[in-house]
Amino acid sequence: MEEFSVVATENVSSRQRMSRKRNYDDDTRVYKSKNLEIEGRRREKLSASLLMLRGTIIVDAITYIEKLQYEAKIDEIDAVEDMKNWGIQAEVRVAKIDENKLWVKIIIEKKRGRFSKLMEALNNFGIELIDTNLATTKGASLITSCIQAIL
Amino acid sequence: MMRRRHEGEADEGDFSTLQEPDQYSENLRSSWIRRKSKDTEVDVRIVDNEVTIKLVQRKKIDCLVHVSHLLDQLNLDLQHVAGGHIGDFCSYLFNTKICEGSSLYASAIAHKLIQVMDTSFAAASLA
Repeated sequence: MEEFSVVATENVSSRQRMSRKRNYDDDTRVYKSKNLEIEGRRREKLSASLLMLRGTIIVDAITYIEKLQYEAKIDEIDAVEDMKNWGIQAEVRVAKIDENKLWVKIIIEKKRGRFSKLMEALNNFGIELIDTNLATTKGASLITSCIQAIL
Repeated sequence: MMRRRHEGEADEGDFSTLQEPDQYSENLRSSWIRRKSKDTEVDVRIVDNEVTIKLVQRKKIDCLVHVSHLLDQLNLDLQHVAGGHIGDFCSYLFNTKICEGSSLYASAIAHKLIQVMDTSFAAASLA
C-alpha cells in the first residue's frame, strides 16, 4: 500500500511540473513575437523616413544646381546681347611703337575671369604690360596697353 | 540695394552717419583701410557695393595676373583698371563692384592683396 501511494504522488508532481513549463514557454513565445513585430514596424517607418529625406536632399541639390545654371546663363546672355544691341564687335589691334614695344587694343565680351585669363596668357608668353588701361561698358571690356618682351 | 552693416575694426574709418537727406533714407555703408608691407602699399575704399583699390608696388613684377585672379576669387566684378610703371614702381587703380549676394570687408581685401604680392615676390626671387 505504501509503495503504491508513493508512486502516485510522484506522478502527480511530475505532471504539474510539465504543465508549468508549457505555460512558461507559451508566455515567452508570445511576448517575443509581439516585441519583434513592433520593432519591425518601427524600423520600417524609420527606413521610409530616411528614404524620403534622401530624396528631398537630392531634389534640393538638383534645384540649386539648376538655379546656378540659370543664373550663369543670364549672365552670359546679358553680355552677348548687350554687345549685339550696341553693335560692338570683339577686336584686337597691335601697333609697333618702338624697337621692342607694341601697343595693343583689345575688345572682348565682359565675363568674369576673362581679364585674368588674358593676363595669364600674356604672362606665359613672356610679355610684360607696361602701361595698362581697362574700361568696361555695355557688356564689353576695352583693354589697351603698351607691351614688351621680358628680356 | 542698401546695406546697413558696419565694420567695427579699430584701424578703419566709418562714415555710417553720413546722410544726404534729399536722396537717401538709409545710411550708406562706407569704409576704408590702408596696408603696407616692405614693397607693397594698398588702399581699399568701399562705398555701398563699390570697391576702389589703389595698389603701389616696388620692383617690376607683372602683378595684374595675380590681382585679377584674386578679384575673381573675392567675387569682385571688375569695372575699370588703370595704371602702369613709374620709375621703379608699378601703380594701379581698380574700380570694382561687389557681386550680389557676396559680402566683403576692406581689411580682408587689403590683407589678401598684400599676401598675394609678397608671395609673388618670394616666387620671383626663387626663379
